[in-house]
Amino acid sequence: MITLSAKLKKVIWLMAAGLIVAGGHVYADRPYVVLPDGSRVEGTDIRARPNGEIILTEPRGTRTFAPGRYERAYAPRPDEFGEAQQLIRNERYDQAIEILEDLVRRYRHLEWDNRSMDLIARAQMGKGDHASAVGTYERLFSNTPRMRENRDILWSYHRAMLRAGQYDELEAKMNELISDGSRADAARAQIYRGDIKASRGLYEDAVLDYMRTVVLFKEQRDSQPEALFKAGEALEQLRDNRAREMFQRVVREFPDTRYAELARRKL
Amino acid sequence: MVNKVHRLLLPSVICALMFFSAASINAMDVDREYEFARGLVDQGLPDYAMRVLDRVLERHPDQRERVLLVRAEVRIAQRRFDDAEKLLAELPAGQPQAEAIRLAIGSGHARMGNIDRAREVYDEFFDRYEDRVPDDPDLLRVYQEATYEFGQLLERVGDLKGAAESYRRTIASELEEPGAERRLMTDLARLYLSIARDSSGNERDEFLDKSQEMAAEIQWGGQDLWFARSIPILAYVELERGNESRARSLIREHMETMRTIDRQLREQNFPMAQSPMATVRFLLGDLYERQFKEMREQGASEGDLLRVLQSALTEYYNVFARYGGSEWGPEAGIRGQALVDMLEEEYGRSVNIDFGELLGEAVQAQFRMGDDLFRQGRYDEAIREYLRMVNTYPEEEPSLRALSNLLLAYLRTGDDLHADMMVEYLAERFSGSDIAARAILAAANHYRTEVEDEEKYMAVYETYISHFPQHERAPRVMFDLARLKESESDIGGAHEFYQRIIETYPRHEFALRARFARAWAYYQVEDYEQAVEQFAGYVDEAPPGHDKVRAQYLLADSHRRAGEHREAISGYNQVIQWAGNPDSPYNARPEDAERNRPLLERANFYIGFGLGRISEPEDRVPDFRERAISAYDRFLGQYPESNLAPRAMFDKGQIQVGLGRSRDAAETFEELARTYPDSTEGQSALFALVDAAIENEMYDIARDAFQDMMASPEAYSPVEFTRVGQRMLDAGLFETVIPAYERVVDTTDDDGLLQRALFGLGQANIAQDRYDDAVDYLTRLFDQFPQTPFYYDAKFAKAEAHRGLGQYREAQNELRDILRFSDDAIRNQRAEYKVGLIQREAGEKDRALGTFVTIGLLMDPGNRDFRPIIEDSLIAAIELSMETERYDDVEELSEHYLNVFPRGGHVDFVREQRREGRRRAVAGGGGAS
Repeated sequence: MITLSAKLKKVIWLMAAGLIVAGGHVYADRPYVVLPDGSRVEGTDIRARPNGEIILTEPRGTRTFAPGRYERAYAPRPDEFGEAQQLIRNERYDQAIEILEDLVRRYRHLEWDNRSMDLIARAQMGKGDHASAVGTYERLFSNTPRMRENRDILWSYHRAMLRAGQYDELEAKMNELISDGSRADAARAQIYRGDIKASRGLYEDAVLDYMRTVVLFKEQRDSQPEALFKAGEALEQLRDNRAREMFQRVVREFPDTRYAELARRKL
Repeated sequence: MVNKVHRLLLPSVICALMFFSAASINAMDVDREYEFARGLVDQGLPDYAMRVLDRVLERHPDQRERVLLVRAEVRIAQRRFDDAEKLLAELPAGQPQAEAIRLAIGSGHARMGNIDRAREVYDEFFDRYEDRVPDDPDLLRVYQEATYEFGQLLERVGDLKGAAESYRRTIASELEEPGAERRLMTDLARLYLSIARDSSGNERDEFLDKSQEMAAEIQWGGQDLWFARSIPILAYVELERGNESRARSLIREHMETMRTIDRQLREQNFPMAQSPMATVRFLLGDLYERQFKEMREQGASEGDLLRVLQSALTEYYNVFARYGGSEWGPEAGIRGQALVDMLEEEYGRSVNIDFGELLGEAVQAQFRMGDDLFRQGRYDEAIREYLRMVNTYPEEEPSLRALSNLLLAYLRTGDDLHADMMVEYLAERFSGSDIAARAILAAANHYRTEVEDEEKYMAVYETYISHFPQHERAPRVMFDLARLKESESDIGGAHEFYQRIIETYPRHEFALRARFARAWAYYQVEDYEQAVEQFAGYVDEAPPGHDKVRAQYLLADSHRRAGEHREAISGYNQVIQWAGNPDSPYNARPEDAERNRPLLERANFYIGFGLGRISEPEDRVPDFRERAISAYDRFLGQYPESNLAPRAMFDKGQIQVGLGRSRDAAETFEELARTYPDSTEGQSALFALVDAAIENEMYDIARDAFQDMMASPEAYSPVEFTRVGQRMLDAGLFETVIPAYERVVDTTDDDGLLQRALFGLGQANIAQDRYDDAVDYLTRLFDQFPQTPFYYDAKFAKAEAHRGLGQYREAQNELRDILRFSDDAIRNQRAEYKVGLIQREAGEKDRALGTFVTIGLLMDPGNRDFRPIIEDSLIAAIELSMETERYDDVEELSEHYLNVFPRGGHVDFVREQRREGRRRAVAGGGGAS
């Protein structure tokens, strides 16, 4: 149970200074519940029962929201979350994970469990434990299926699968996105499919996948430098001199991107 | 309009034609694949485009025609026009899409300078539309594009009438865009004028009229760029008719319009080469020049002449500088320079042309002048022009191209000295330039293919390599030079180049190819140690694919040929691991999978082969042999039709014999004979069994197998019977030798085999105490082959046969033949000893004793080769001495023996004889010999 502690006071202060923005969501420093009709009920305190019931404290008293009677419930951002983020930036992954696991436990159903699991997975990837990261994401999706709709989280999950070598499952997902996903997702999925093929030593097939993004998804500018660069890398594996042209194009057409920097090193 | 549309027209037309003819199922997916394939071509990946098309065809066999069309497009983009035509030949005639692509091929040929071929394509197309235009709107667009391009082609090759006719067709086909039509009308008017200039009489007048009519029609259409362009055409028509004043009037009347249009073009950043002022000002320059010539003829004053010349120069140099990119620019420069030269030579006036703000353009134009001369093949003039320019502007932007062309011009004029100088200059001064690199390569190629001077082209290539090591073509050039060295059998030279490629371009495609080439060279000269090293290096670097599988196979094979069977087996297993999985990256391409198949087959065979030959550690050899049998069984199960299958079965049988599994071996060889009766191994199955059985001392099996051979003797050659006979003889199976050799004697006319058989029969009969037959065969041998290589051995044998028959004189005679002809001391000693034995047997004890004593006492016991005979002779002598009661000799001989052979095998016997001799001497007398 969260009380109006020093932490909450700090959150309230921050609320007074403005809203906390993270991950595309606006996190107010007051707890609230979002109802199925989209309306929001704010409170002064919030807690959750293990069965998913939310108890929101309002000035007039407490209200209980049974599962199914609300869309989402938010608690104010815990300070530990920020600490965990900083630890991850400093590559102290195990410490971060420990903190985040605690947050998962304490903030179940209060949104920070989801955020914490995402961060746990990223920390696990940071330390190279990609298989665990995949497991964490699957746990997240199992707890909160709507998190699959968060593109950042979804692609982080895909990235974990790729690095964990779960090619067959990932390839099936990418095929789905390529045929039925948005154009942005399809462009990206093609790159991932190329990555899978490259990991299997099928470099020529990988070139084709990367080039599909280049040729057929030109408007997806975000994906272009990566696709071009990776096409170059695959060609390089095949000792194909056209690799150089690909790298030159990345530098020429997308000079300010990370891939341009990588391409410059190749050149 | 037409030009801009051109690049987009063909693919879009084809797209449109294809879309409406596509099958409905998955049409969008397939269309996207075609779009993807075209996109890959644009991205410089035509080979990948072909892969995409292969997959489309695999999944949608009904798309064959469309795939063919797009493949043809890809080939055109690759400039592989002949391949494109082959593809189109598979399509039904008259298909609009195919027509469009055929024209694209024609266009491609034209761009590549294959004019004759381009004409053929276009002529073939236009023959179908002699007096009409296509009805189909898409094909009409293609037709219009084709007529225009054809016109341009004909103009380029100087067929102006043909070009005019083609433009006329384009115009007559009712172009949609008005601007395009007016532009074409202008081109046509200009062409008519050019034709008129090259004609005479009525024809000239006719074309002048046509030009004038066309230009007038343009003028009626409104005041625009084409209107302005028609003015100088009309002026030139007047000029051609001799109406200079009318020409001037025309220009004067419309000069303001021209200036306005020129200004508007400049403000809109229009390419000034297209401005009509270029033509007008050139015309003015021309008129002034004509005026100058007339005035000079009429004796005008120098001042007047110079004024007119100045006007001419002003016009020419304005065209040259402002409109240098137009068709008049270079000519204006040439004419201006000619006037400048004339002023200096005839009037002593030097001219300083101040280009002002147009200097940059003027420089460009001057260089273009040289380019123009170069393109026209006027190399001497081009050289002069280029030299002038590069000495004025040594390192401006266009200078490098000029220097490169200068080098080529020197080569064309055969000026090797200057060409060499240019090569060095370009290499030293411009070592980072692609243009310079290509020019030097062109020079090297010239020396190689046209002059065929090896020393020169190698020197130029070396200059290129040393100064342009990072040039994109450098690895290929080095690789080609290595191949050249190989073709000249200069393997060391080739290896040097390969090594340089590997060291300088470690990640380049050619570094890999160099590794393979080097490894292969070592493999071919059987330097397997080096081959192993090089193939291993290649395998480490190469990406997955057939080439890597092949290198791995050859690596294993090199180990095998060097007798390193364990390493070979490991290598072959790697081949199987890579190529045996249909989903592996080594089989990603169908052609790779196809090429890997024979390697996979052979690898499987050679695993059994290797296991059958590993010989250490000895206690594990049976296990290796069993594994070899299993490996061969697997191979035979997988590849029963393989050329190696009989061999595998044969090897398996031999191994079984070696393991003592004779029954299994017999079954294996029987199966071999039955399953592969036409194979070498199948035909020799029984023989193989005999051979293997004898080798393993399984004589009963050998005899039985031989009996089977004799049951069908016609199935086996005299060679095989000879071999069997020899094997049997060596194994002491004399009873079998005789029928084998008799078979040979009866069936062969080969002298070598016959001699061996006769000798063998002699030996076998002796062994069986059939001395008569032995004598007969050996006598026949000597009678037929007096110089037989078996002479001495046969003499020994015949002596033995005679001895067996009690024919001691004859036996000794045979041995004396040996002593007469042989100069081999050991053989002679042996013959002597045999003589002694025969003498002894014949009862000629004294003579025998003399023989033995001679050998025993006179031969040098210090010679190791003599010792056995000396020893045997001494023993025989001691025995004979005892028999003839020569006890002093016994004493002496025994003493000698014990001195010479203190640890001999007969020491005890000799001591005993000596004791007995002494005893007998004391008891009964007896003495020395």
